[in-house]
Amino acid sequence: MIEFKLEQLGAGSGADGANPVAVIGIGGAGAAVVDQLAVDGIKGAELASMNSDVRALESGLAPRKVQLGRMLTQGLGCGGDPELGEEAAAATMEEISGVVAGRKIVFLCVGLGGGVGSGAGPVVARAAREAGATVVVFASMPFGFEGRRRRQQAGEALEALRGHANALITFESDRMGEAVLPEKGIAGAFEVADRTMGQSIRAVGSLVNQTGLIGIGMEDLMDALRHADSRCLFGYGEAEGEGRAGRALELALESPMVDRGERLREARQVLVHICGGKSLTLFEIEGLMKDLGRHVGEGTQIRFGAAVDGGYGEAVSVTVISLAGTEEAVKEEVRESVCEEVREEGKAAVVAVESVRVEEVELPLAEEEGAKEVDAHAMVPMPHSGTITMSSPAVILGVAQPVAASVPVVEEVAELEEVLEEVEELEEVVKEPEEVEEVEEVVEEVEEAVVAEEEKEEVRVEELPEVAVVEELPAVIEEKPRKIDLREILKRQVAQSGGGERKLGGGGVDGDDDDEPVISLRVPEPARVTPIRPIPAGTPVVRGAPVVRGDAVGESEPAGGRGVKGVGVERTAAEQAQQNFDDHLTPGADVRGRFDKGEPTVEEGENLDIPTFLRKKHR
Amino acid sequence: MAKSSIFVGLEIGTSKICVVVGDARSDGSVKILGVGQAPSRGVRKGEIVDFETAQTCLQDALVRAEDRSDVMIRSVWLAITGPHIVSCNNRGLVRMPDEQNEFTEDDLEEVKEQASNVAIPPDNIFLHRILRHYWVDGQERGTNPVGVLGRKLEAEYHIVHGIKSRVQNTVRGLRELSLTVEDVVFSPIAAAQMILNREAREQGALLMDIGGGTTDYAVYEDGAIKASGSVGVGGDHISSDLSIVLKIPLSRAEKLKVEHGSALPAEPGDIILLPSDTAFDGRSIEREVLNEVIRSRLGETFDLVRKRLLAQGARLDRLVGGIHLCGGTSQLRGIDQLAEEVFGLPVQRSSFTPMTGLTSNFENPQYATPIGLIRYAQRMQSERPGKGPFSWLTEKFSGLLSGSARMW
Repeated sequence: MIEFKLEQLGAGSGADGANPVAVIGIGGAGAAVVDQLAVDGIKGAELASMNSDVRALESGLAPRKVQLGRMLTQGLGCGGDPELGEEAAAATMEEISGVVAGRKIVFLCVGLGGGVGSGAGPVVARAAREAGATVVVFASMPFGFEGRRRRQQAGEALEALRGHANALITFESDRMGEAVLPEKGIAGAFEVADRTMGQSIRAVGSLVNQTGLIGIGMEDLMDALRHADSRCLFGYGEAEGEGRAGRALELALESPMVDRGERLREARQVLVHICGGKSLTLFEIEGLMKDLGRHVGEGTQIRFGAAVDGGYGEAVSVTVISLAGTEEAVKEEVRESVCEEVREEGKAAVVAVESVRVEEVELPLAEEEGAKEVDAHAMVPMPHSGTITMSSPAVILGVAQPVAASVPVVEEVAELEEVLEEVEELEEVVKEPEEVEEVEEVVEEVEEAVVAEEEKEEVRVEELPEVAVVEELPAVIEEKPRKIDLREILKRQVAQSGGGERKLGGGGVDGDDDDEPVISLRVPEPARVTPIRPIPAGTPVVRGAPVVRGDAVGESEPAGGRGVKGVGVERTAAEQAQQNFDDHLTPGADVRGRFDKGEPTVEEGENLDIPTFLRKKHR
Repeated sequence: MAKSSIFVGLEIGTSKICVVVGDARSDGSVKILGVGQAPSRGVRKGEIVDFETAQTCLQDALVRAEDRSDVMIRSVWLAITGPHIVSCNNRGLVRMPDEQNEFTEDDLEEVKEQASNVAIPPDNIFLHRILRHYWVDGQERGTNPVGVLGRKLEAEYHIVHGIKSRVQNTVRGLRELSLTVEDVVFSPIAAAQMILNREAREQGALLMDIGGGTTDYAVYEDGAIKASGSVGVGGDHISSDLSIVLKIPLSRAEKLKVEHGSALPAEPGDIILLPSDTAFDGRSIEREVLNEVIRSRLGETFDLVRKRLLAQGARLDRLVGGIHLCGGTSQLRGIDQLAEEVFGLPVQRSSFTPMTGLTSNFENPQYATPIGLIRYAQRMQSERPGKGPFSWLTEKFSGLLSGSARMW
């Protein structure tokens, strides 16, 4: 949990009174994003752009501009040479430091592949990091048609950025361009790309800044982005009026990066942030999350945040950020987290697991499953305060490991049984169903292990795991709520409505808050929000542009549904005759007959499935 | 005797499924070996909506065709249609560098590449990319321009594309019946092979295939296809209209349309008596109403086609070859006069290019598409000598099915 003192975040915090949040665009593409942000407006962040090309810099809209490598490039661009870009940035280090000094969060947007972005980007990121800021990099990868060389440069720069940034979000320009209609042209494609990045910056900025009902903090974001391949799917939608929550989500899912929600299925983690005015209801949030549940895969972890911001009025916004983690990335992370877990918990003398060389063992399937269990466990906070720190990961590693991998081999079965006993004790202590389940799994595995070991008589153990039960839980765990209960939180919110926490909404940096000096940027450890109900068979999943249904046509387009009986219109004799004729026939209003169920054929606003005869008569 | 090869054309229409086994000879004639036909179910507006039902019908048609022709059907040429299929024309241009003034094979490839690679929506797939013409320095040139002197080489392609998943689903469904699809062909293009002869194509002609669920059209100008497309309105709509307006059961409406329907305005006062049966009380229908319902529907459909053609740049006044109608609905009385009114062009019901075999039965405009498929297949093969007859297509379709490759 990262906690910032309010005064640190407040207006006066920066060295020279600077805004603690800065958005810096580097190079042409970065500057374009900043311009887009300037045009669309962003609260609570200072915009700056850096470029070596003085003409491009001048035309930019950012209030703060830094010309890179003034002497080096003589005010020209870097000509796609990252080395030159790097030198230029290095030569202008002082000015860069001036911009990043005193910032708490620096959003860096760069277009990778060119000279300035790829070269200067990492330098600025480092400078910002050194100045003590949390650095979030938004990087756009070049379009496929820009060629292999640029792609390669982009890849290298990405590596370099990864070293300096706290979080790195990459955008595939190709994918952003895909969403643009082919005929829209390149300017349109670039604009969409810029806007998408701008939206994501704004959204990330507000989601880490806005405290609220259920917050998503910087750490959540960093945690979500912390793995090898941070190709990010980003969706943002805002809507008001009736059904606003649903429409906002739909819009978010229609965003180019999310590909109509299709890509969410592959996502490993999804961060959802809902923000609305005072009128945001629990019902809406619930419905929205249910809807989202249909779009994400079974194993996806959802991190969920909600905030109330008076500035939203009647509107509701939904931000979806997810990571299409590749299998390997997941594995890697799991392995990493296992090791970490082992290191930490091991030191706390929970279980001696030094002998388990996780990294070296080619993890077989059983162990993988165990490891995943660990991860899941790590996400769910310990349910019981003050009983055990016996962590299931350690047990799994210490005990299940030998079975599956048969390295290291356990010496005596008796020892193993001891462990089993310990675990059984634990099982009694732990009453939380989830936990019991997990422990049971562990027990099962241990039992299996025992059986397996008994069967193998020539088993040997190099070092045996010890299990120690610690009486007290560390205090940190205690303050974490067990799970997110929307109702309870809302109640609490209502009870303390007008309370200090929420006042941070918007920029989240107003210094004039009179109470609550400590702002928790990160609220509860998010539990896995499971899709609330399975999709009933045959439920149509809304995708893409809404299909014009027959009834909708009937409403919106008078030709189909308008007064079949022709009431209240002044008529000529001919029309009267016609009317009689019609009455004699008394046809239905917008009957589509046998085409009622199918997708209607709509051309020039006319539903062609309705008899032409009827439509003509009432035109 | 001319060299022959046997092809199977399959059209899954809205009202019927038709399989034609034909022997295409290199002299351009098609000998029909057998035809299998079954009424179609589970198909709406030219697209399969209920595959299981459609499969049963398809199986029927296939068995019949196999029986009659004594040919085992393993692979078919499939005609597809549907309002999702759209077309456009795209032109590519290559300018010669100063020191070079003769077009080479590479230039030709480049101009073809440029012309045929048009951006289509990501969900779509190319169905046809047909070379229309070359232009050398702005002058039209039909033949291969390699070796010709000039500064500027242009090529224009007619490109037909449709929604990938819909095309794939049909192909996949056929695969379940262990049928290989050699290629998918946009229906009006197949039908045009049969209905528009060379002369008509040179002069400029419009083909309209008015089927049960869709009205497909293709325009040829100067010997090459100019525009094509599909409107999701067909004979079924007429029946449906009659059923709604006259309040009679659909089957009755269908019968009424076939027996009495006409696209010409009728004198008032003429009454048609519908006899009663167990499920239906008799009804008397005014012919005037009947005809007006049909006429307004068809008139609107023609008008839609006309607007689309104009939007695609077809010059209707230059279609000297006139309008050729085919498809089941083209048998409706008075439809030719109505088309003439709307388009201002002479109309012919389809006349077939030479066929041998059981032709007399099939000189019916209903069969234009499946027979056209056979002609198309023959043409495709003659254009691709050397390779095995189907290898390139199988490649194309394995890619299509796996969804991995776009048919660039």
